[in-house]
Formats: sequence, C-alpha cells, structure tokens
Amino acid sequence: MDPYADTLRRLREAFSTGRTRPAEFRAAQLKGLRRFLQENQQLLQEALAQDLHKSTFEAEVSEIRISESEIDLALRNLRSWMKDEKVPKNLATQLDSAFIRKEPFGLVLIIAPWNYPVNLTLVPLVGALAAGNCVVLKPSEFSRSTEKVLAEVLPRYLDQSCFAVVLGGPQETGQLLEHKFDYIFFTGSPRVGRIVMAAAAKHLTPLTLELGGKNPCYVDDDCDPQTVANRVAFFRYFNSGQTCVAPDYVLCSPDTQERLLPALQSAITRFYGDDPQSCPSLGRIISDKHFQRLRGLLGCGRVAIGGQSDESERYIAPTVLVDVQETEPVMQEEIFGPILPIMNVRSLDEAIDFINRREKPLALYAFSNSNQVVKRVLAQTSSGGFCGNDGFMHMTLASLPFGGVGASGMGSYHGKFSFDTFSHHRACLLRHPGLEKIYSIRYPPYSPRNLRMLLVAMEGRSCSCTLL
Amino acid sequence: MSKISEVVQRARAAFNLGKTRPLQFRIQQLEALRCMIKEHEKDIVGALTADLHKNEWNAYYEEMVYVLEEIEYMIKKLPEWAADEPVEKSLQTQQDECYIHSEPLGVVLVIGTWNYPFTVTIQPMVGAIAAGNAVVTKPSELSENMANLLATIVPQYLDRDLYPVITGGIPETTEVLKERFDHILYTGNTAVGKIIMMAAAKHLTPVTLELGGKNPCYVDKDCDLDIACRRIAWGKFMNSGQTCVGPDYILCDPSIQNQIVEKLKKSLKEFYGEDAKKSRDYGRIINSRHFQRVMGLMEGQKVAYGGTGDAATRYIAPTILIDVDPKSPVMQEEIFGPVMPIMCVRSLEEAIQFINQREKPLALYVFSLNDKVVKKVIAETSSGGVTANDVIVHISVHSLPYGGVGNSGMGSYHGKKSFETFSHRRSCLVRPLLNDESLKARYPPSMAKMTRH
Repeated sequence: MDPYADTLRRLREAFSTGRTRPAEFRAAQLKGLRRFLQENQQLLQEALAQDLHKSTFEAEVSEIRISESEIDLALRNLRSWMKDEKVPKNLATQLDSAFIRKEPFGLVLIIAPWNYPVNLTLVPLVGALAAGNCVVLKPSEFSRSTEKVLAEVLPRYLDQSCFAVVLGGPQETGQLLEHKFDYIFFTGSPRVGRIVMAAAAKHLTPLTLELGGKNPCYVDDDCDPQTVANRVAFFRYFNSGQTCVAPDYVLCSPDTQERLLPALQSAITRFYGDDPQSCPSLGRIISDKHFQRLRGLLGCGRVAIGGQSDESERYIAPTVLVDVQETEPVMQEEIFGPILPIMNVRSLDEAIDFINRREKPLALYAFSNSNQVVKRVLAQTSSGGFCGNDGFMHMTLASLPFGGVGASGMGSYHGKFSFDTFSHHRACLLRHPGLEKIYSIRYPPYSPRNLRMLLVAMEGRSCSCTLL
Repeated sequence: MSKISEVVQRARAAFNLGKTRPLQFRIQQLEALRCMIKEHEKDIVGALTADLHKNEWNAYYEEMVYVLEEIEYMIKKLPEWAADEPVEKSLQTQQDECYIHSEPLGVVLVIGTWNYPFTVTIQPMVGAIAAGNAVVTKPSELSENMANLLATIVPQYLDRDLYPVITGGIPETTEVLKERFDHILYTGNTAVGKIIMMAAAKHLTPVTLELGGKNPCYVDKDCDLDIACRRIAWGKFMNSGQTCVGPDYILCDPSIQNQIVEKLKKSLKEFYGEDAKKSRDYGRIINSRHFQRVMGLMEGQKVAYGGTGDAATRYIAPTILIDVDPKSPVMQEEIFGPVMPIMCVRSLEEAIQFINQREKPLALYVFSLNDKVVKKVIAETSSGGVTANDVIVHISVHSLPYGGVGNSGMGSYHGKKSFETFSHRRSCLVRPLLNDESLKARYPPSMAKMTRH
C-alpha cells in the first residue's frame, strides 16, 4: 500500500493545470502563510515551549519574526524576481532577445528538522511557493507539538490542491523518498543527507542539503575576553545549543583560555542566573535520546563551568569543558547541545591547520581586535558562512546566501536565493527569423574561404564567432 | 593505493598548497591552455577527423572556437568575478562588512563525452581552473583519438599535479568515482548520470549533470518554411545527428508535413550533395554499437528520404521519417543520429501536450513568425533551454547558463555560470570587536523585553 501516491498525483495534476503560475496565486499563498503566523502566534509559542522549552523571546526572534520577514520580502519582490532576466548580448545577437526565464520545478519536497521547526519549515516553504511550485512538507516528528500545528492548522491557510503535509518517521520518509520529486530541500544531519541524495539520484532530482558540522570558533589573544564571552555564550546556549550554526568549540591559547573562563561564567550567570535550570530563557533538549547522548559528552575532558543535568526535564546546564582531547567524542561529533569545549592551540597557524584537517563546517567564527587576523582565518579556511567577531549574525541578512559546503551541505537559500533555488533557470534565445544571409556562413558545403574568414574573425576577436 | 587514487591525492595535495589561489596563476594556466590549442590545432582537427569524420571547419567552428572564446571571456572577467561581492545591509549591520566571498571548492572531476569530445571536456575545465580548483579530467574513451591527444598535450602545458588527465573506460571511471571530489561535472546520458549522482552522494559531492533527452522542434504553419527547414537541417544533421542539443523530432500540422520534407531534402542536398556519403562535410557514427542502434530505430518506419547506411564506414544517410507513431522505438529514446522523425499534431495545444507528457528535454525549439505562439510554447513547457526560430545557438551565448532540467540534467555552466558552479559562495559578515553596548539588548534574561500584545 502506497500511502503517498494519491496525494502526489493530485499535486502533480494541480501543477500541470498551471494553477501556481500566476503571481496572484503565489502572492495569495504567501499572504495565507503570513496570516497563519499572525493568527496562531500563541499556539506556535506554546508548541515551541512544549517541544523545546523555547522562551517567548527566542520563539519570537528566531522563529516567528524571521519567517515573517522572509514572507514580507518575498511579497514585496515577487514580481521582480519572477521577471525574465535579460542577459548581455554580443555583436552577433544584437537583434535577438536573450533572457533567463525562471520556472517552477514542479513538485517540491521539503523535509524539515526539529530544532527551529517553524523557521526551518516555513522559510524554505516561502521560497518554494514564491517560485510557483506545489509542495509536500514533511515536518520533523521529534518536535511533536509543532508538527501537529503544521499538519492541522497550516493547510487551512493554503490552497490544499497544491500543498500537503505528510507525517511520519524514518520509515515513512524513506517510503516518501522512493517517489519522484522535482526538487528536494532537506535540513538535517550529513548522515541522513547522504541517504536523501542517494534517493534523489534514482530520479535525477536536484536538491539543496542544509547539513551541519562542528563550527570552529577561533579566539585570538588580542581581544577583550568579556565581549567575546558574551557573544560566544549567547550564540552557543541559544536554544540550548541546538543550532546548526552555533559555535561548536573554541580554539584559543592557554592564556586566553584563562581569561575566557571567568568571562564565560560571568556571561552565563548574567544571562541565566545562578540557577539556570529555573531560568525561563534556557531551552531543553528535544528528546531522551539526545539528552543521553549529551550527558555522555559531559564526561569528556574536565568540566570548568556547569556540567549539571536533570533527566526528568531533559535539562543540561550551560557547560564549558577544558582539557579535551581531539579523539574524545565531544570533538568527534557535532555537539548540538549547551556544551562548549575549549581546545588549546599555540598559534593562529595551528588553529588554521586544526580547522582544515576537518570537514568544512556550516559556519566559522573568528574573534580578534585585529582585522588582519580575522581576514587571515577567512582566507585560509572554508565554511558555509563566516562571521568575524560575532555569532551567527550572517544568517540574519537575507541578502547573504545561507548554506553549507562539503559535508555541511550544498546549495543555499534565504531571500532571493530561496526563489532562485526553487526555480529552474531556463536559457532562452529568441532569434530573428530573417537575416539568413548572415547565418549562411555556418552551412555546408564548407569552403576554405569560409574557414579563412572564420580564422581571421577568431584572431581579431571582433565578434562572437560562434553565432555566425 | 591505485594509480588513479595517487593521481587524485596528488591533485589534492597540490591544491592544499594554495598554488591556485592567486588569480595570476589561474590566468597563466588559462593562457597556457590557449597556447596549447593554438599550437596543436592540426592535431585537434586530426583527432576529431579520426574519431567522428569531422572536417577542419567542424573542428574550428563547432569545437575550438567555443573553448577559445570561453578562455578569452574568463580571463577578461576573472578579476571582477573573483572579487568580494558586497551585499545590501540591514539596520543592525550598517557598521559591518557584509559580502559574498568566492572560493574554490577544491578538486573538481570533469567527465567528458565523445560527441564534441574537445569542447565538452575542455570547456568545463576552463571554468574549474578559473574558479581556482584542481581539476581531474576524464575524457571519453569512445572518442579514443581525442582522449589520447588530451592525455599527451595537456600535461605539456598545464601544471601536471593540479590538472591530470585520466584515460580509460568503465573500470577507470568506476575507480575514479570512488575518490572524493568537491564537485563533479558529467556530460553524457541519463542512466550513467544516475550512477554518477549515487557515487557522489556517498561523499556529499555536488554535481552538475549535462544529460540529454528528445529535443522537440515545433514548426508552426505561420513561418518561413525555407528558412526554418534550412536551420533545422543544419542543426539536426551536424555531426551526423550526434548533438545533445540537436532537434530530435519535428512536431507539425499534417498540412505542412510534405512541404517540410521537401524543404529539408532541398537543404540537405545543398549541404551534402545528392550522396552525403561522398561529402567531406558529413559525419560518421561514433561506433558500431550506436550505428546498429540508430539503424534499428528506422525499422518499420515510413522513410521519406535516406534510410540507408553502411556498417563498414558507420555512415548513415540523412534520413527523414514521416507519419511516425509516438509509441514506436524511434520516439522512445534520444535518437542521437541523422534520423528526423516528423510527428503530426492537429493543433498547438496538442503539440504542447505531447511535449509535456514526456521527460523535460535539454533543448526545445519553436519556429513561428507569430510572437504569441512562441511565447505560449515557452510558457507552457519546460526544458533546459530554448531557441526560437533557430536551433542550438542559445548554448553559444556566454551570458546564458547551459544545462538541463529533470531527466535532461541539473546545474549549468558556461561563462559566469561556470565560475559560480565551480566556486563556493561564502557568506561573510565581519564586525568590529567593540564594546557590547549596542548589542546588550539581545542578551537574556529576556522576560523584561517580552510584552505580548
């Protein structure tokens, strides 16, 4: 029994009627999405609180507001994004019309994660809808309460002939992936990313993979430790560390570590109080499985700050580990929790080598008063994105593409990049139907004279020879 | 470690040394490539003649000129493309540097194919080099002479560690696909495209797949049939039909089918004479297997012109088939040979429906003097690219991306798109490490900040 065949067929048929093509239709979907957010703020806040103990502030800032601003950006720019993109012509094509037509792919599958279940579901959805696709959404089954809202409430705001929510776990997702989609957008782990890409390969489906990695955070000796600590702590412990672009570990000299530790403690106390467990600003771990995994990591190195945990609440204290070995588990896997290991390096070179020996991360951070140092880290490493002297601010700018490289992913989105990601860029040339005399040089029978003319034109490079 | 593994590791080690970062180095390599082409023109022509019966004109006009222009364009534009691209800032980021920084991906694998063996192998290389990558090139073994030539001359002009050429067939390709690359560009067929993407999935390697399909050519009643048929004949029968963007089949109203046949015949005779076999300008099929395949597609069909072949020379006459049944084999696979089926449709809508019932092709062609017809066909279909009132030429505009969609491929290249395809566009935000005052508002505890309306 294939539970998805009917839904997919229905959506494909709707797409083939051309329903999603007009700007008015797409704008109506985006407005529906906006109304969904506006009318269900409380419901969503509650769901996020249930799933991740997300504070109202975090939910507002990192889930709802970000989604709203992407919707607004898309609504404001939809018609201009949809326009044919004229391209520069050369001498031979002056009388022709050359442009890139943006077309929807057709049926898009979005597989969303649990850590920012509103943001990471809706922002890709904005792009897919704006680009005129029909969408199947597979929200994460781990963020159960949010999943419920997305499955039961969201569809009411969209045209359901062109949109469907599919629920399930790994088995159901596997079954879903056996079907052909015209584009797949996946946010999750590299391990599952490989599985998704292999499934996509069977149907030659293009895809964007937003994966993860261990995002290094280099802290130079030349810095103000408190400023650094404030920024690093804020971005590390946000959403209880369950952020794909959070600083995963710190690289610094032993001296800087000495200065950072009290500064980190100070920041943590200021942010979360003396008893972080009772602070409403601090989130909780998504599941028992992840809680156990993180509790295991607390045994690595030595706990310098925090280290407490409470299984009944899936609470882990904002923690800093020191004296960590590279081979320990906390330095082998993406942490995705409120634990910050500090690794010592003796120089900037050693830090850069350390970073480059590992997989390319989704984000990379460098803190220094010296712009030169920051730029050097940037120049000598690679990562999805980079921020100098702060945490993941770079992903809040819609004018910057958000995506990974290497094991941290492929493709990107946000703002116009979302629209372009979910569109096929079709090269179009409308040739002048006359002017046959000019083109006749290209027809056989070929004469040595024609060849000489061509070679002369190639030497002179006075025009595009390929369009004769 | 196998020899292929060694070659790839060496390329990676050379890349890691940072040799390819300076623009000057990349431009130097591109200039060397240009030199190689100019100094070995005759050898390139010779290889193309031996592999595909191409003549001097074909070699220059259909292959070398593309690559030379790409190199020219790349050298000229590289400084501009490689520069950091500042982006629009938000209120919160006014004091920061916000830009996109282009970086090489690392080690790129280019797998070429045999029909335009020079262009489809070297043109991607040009973009990959310009973007600062090491490039491992694997030309197609079916165009054996070109593969051997490239394996000989490329190392004489380009850095040997960074840009190795690997020769061989399926075993070697399988071997090289086990290695980890940072991007793979493959030109070829759909079946192998899937295999390549599967192999790439293991390493999370992004891919550009330039595949194929059946490129429809809709000929409207309202058009100048003389010109249309001449252009179609040119594009279809060049390289004996072995062109991934060549028009695969014609769709037209039954009332003009005969005229189309006559005019195609007229152009073919102008191009290749009464007996194309004697023409120095007419190509040959790449090998016996494909020869048999294409000859087989003609079986049981109504032949309006041609229909013969000679296995010894792998010559197939320019052939036109009429009243073709959509269910017949010739309409089921990409023909990739000098056989032009004509399918009759009773309306534009039927033509569009016919096209849409099939896999998205690499290219789509529409001939009409009526602007509305052209616009409708484009609006209601999809394909990698389109040329209206001509064939093939959209791929020669540097500013247009060249690639497929659906079964005809994913990703694209040519010109700036090549540079982007082979680069990682890294988002960068750099702010001063100043006092935190302005940022304090974002830090917890947040209770005081939250007032729900």
